[in-house]
Amino acid sequence: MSESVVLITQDGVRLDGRRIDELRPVKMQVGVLKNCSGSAYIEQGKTKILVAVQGPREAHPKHIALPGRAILRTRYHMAPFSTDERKSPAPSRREVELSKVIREALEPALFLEEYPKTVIDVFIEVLQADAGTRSAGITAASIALAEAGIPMRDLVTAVAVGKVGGKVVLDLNEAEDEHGEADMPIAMMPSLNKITLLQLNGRLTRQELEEGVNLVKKGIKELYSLQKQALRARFSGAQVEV
Amino acid sequence: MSEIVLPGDAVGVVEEYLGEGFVYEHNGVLRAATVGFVHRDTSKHLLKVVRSGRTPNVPTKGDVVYGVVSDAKPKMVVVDIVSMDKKVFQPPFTALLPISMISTERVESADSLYTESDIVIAKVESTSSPFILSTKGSEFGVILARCRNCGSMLESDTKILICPNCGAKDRRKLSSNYILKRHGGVSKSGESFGNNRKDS
Amino acid sequence: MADLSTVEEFVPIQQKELLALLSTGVREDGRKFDEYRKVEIQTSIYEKANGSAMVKIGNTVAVAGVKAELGEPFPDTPNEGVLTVSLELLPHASPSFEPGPPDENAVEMSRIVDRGLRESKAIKTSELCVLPGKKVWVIYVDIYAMDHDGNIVDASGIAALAALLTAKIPEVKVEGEDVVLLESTKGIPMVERPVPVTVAKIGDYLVVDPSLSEENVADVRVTMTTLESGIVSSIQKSGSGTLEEPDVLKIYDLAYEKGKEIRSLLAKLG
Repeated sequence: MSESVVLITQDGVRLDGRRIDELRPVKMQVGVLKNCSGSAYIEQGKTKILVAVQGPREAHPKHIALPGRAILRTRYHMAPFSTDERKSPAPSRREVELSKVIREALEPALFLEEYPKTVIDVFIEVLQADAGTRSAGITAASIALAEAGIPMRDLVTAVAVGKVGGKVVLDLNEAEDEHGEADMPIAMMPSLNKITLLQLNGRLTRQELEEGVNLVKKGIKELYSLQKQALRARFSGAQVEV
Repeated sequence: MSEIVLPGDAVGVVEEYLGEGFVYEHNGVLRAATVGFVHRDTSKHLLKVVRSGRTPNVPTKGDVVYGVVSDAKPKMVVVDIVSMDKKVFQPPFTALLPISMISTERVESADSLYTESDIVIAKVESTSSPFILSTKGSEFGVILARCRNCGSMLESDTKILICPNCGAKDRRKLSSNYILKRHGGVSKSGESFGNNRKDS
Repeated sequence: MADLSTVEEFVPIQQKELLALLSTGVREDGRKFDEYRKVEIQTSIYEKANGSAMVKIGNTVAVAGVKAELGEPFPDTPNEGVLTVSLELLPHASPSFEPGPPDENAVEMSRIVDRGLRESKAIKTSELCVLPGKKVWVIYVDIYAMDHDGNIVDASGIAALAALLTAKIPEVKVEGEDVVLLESTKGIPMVERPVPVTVAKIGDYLVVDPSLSEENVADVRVTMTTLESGIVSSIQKSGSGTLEEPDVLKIYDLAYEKGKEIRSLLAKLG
């Protein structure tokens, strides 16, 4: 039970040695796959996710096409080997819901009207799950979309804050997610300071809610600069095409 | 050379510049909408963001594309655009070739000059959906056709097509790049199928 | 004019009209921005269920039925009862609802209601344990959205809560390994009253308890489930728009305020 696990010490040090406002180690790479329009790989702690973008391409079935804009489709999926116990590959209700909220977190950033009647597919495959998969998936998806050349208002950057041992902390790992008191993933377009995903499971007071939103911005700022580094690394040798 | 910019990067303010290309304005700030480079023309107050990364693989007006006829009706032909510039579209983009866009010459019926499974080279005239194609011009039209009777690949003999198998004769709006020539010849330009072509 | 907001192509037109109205400080049904529609709650409407409730929010109708069965606990929580929540959008409720497997909207709504109840720890599941590791009460809460005139989530969440608060399960006697169900009944041990309140953002306006046409043109909907103590136990942003940072606390304040009003209605159920 949660009472028996000490997730955070009196001095604010967490099980994995992090401070309350510290992200897990993060690695991101853009352009990791050859046969898609855009791709990215992210590791955040033990969470490992591969994202591919396909499209814009013709919408199938055709009746789903919209005359004024592209459709964004997202598929958040966990590999059967991504969890301690094998996960059935059939999409769970959780995956259906997450696919929807992730799509709604990315959509505001995209100029979908540039490609009417087409569909843009974003495939988020969780290869190893250790909490924070939806937010890491969003962070990686937005740089894969940028690589694909799809016009965007901003990148979308996401991370969770939570409440662990009575404290509001940044970027929960699996133990903290499981035994903690709350998990609140948030996605933002950092330059525009707009929130595109907001969810909470758990119990927070009004003050903790406010604290959480402030703390999340610190994490988002750091992840945003890592996203930019990854994109620059991918395109540093790029030639100008006029 | 100017520095690489990323989506969301502030590149200027509206008081100073008029944005062009992949730029949008939000609360008076001009921001990049793609991975690209910034060109500033201070004398004209123009700021342009040019895409430097990948370009989405979607045909645009003026592109030369390869397609397969999926349906031919008297007034129009339906073409699946399958390729352009070495790129393959999966799934293909559906396009229409209206009778008025087939040729500079008068055409009685579209299905007399095109039939299902014809491979065509065409120019994109409009991308306001659906895509509209044109095969006006000598280089555009069918580059490979099959016999309506027996399905064999037809060979071109000046203006007509002949089936080497059953001897049937047929007509098409032929491209000058038709691949199989009568008497065993293969057009040189036929080898350029799928190669980097740009409309001049 | 006819409500064409359900047709995607008409949404921009409909949104423009609604925004023009909102800019004058009025909603199309005459409500204030922070005004909830009239909420009616009826309980114990189905005798065969352990608990049931019908909730009307204006013309939106949801019913919830609670069934309790003895079953096995989950291996990782051998001493706790099990809660299962499901929400079905009946084809009766809207021409846009079809029978068959739930689509992503139905799945999402169902999970919002589920999370509100579960994450608040509203049910003291330890008291639902009958034989540790072997027999516990499994509480099924099945919700039907019957008429969709906007804000099904709140109607469903309130119906589920009202049904749980008034449900009766048999008392049991344990004889060795055997469990005997007695004639007498008791309530489900509820320690919180989590009330979901949905706020829609249309342009820059925040409106509470969106009607169907408001919901259809809204950029964003946010559902926050709050408890008596002011704790928020679940949040869901839904829809492809964005929120400004201050919106989060504004929505919280609206949700808590309206949650209190609804909780006072529930208190009258006894």
